[in-house]
Amino acid sequence: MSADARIPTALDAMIRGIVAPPVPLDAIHRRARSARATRAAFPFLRVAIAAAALLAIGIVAFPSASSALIQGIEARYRAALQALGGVAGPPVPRTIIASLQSQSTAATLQGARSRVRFTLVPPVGLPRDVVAETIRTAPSGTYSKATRAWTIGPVYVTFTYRRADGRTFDLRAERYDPQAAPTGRYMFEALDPAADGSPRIVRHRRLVWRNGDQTMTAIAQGIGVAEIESIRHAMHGIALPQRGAHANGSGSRSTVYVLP
Amino acid sequence: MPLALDTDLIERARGDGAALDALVVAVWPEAYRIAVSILRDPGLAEDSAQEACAAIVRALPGLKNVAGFAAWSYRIVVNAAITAARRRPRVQSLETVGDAATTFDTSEAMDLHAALARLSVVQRAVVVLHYYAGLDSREIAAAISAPSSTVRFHLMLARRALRKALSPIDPSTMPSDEVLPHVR
Repeated sequence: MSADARIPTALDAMIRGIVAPPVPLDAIHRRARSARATRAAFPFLRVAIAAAALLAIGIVAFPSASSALIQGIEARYRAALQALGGVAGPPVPRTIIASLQSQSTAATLQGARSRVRFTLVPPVGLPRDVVAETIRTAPSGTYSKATRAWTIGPVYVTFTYRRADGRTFDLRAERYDPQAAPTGRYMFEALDPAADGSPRIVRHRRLVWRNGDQTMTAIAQGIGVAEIESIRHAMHGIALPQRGAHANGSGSRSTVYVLP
Repeated sequence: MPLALDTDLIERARGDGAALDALVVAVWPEAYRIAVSILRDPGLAEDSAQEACAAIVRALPGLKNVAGFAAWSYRIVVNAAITAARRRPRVQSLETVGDAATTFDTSEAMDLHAALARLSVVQRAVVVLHYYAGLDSREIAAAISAPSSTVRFHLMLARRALRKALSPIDPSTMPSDEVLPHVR
């Protein structure tokens, strides 16, 4: 018999030779029940959020706040992730937060360029009602699933803009990593519970694009998706692929969901 | 197709807890074996097989074609394994790497197992779906959300590796020190 003809029978014998452990019926039913409950509330479960990115938002938004407040912000995102059926990493240690905060500094464009290891391309094509700009640099907090530890990562730059109506929005520039997994299409945040005690989660659209060795990330909070797209076009940015590309609910507004 | 179940059991499992348990008991060994074949990590495979069985339990009431249960469940099992592989840490502890729970009766099976190790996770999934579950390239393409041409390419590469593993060794191609170990 030729080797080609023997492949199916040999493979069959090999796989049948593997001894399975006893069937974990309880665990399987438990998983089925828990996923069913969250799927009923959220049809787009494949999205996930990165605790490190959320931590970064806290650090930038409240550079001089206490580590307890930053941990509180991060905990809200972690709660959102868990409510969606995701698996959150461990809480960020206070020492890491303190270290990130101590290294978070305001900067000029030139100063920011000198602190990063990529060619910083500043945003252009901003909404016309932008009245103020702030630039900050800070290292990112990174959780490694391999070492199960938080570490201080490379420096990124956050451009924060204030609009005439008082809203603010951020654009985050960091070094492009070709090995990085695609980011999620949405970010989730846990709000205070609804009047009946049900958890509430808000979904924000996230857009990511590349300019040379820079990756720019924008979250549709304080800015619309169309306005973000205008910035990307003006910067000649290349949109990066994202996970969770669902057609439903992909509008420009953030959407609030109440979980049962 | 190895997973051939009574359609009556599948129908009853939609509304009868005992029948559902019997179905899971029947599917579990297959789910685990396939997961191990693809992931080569017993711990991860057990987790992936659990996830797959839970997905089958969840989705069973919506299954339209009961006669297609086997192919449908293979798709779920293989996709759960691919997802588990993507979530797997890049660095593994030495305890989890290796061939625990995969001992083989024949040298042919061992050779095949070693040849599969050199394939990517997706290629292993394609091999299992094609040669073990009996799916054609169009069905595999639908199962793993890849073009049929990509599936055929994966199959071609995999077939080449498996054929090599199953081919009898030609002594003339062996290094001389293996043919005559005493000659140096």
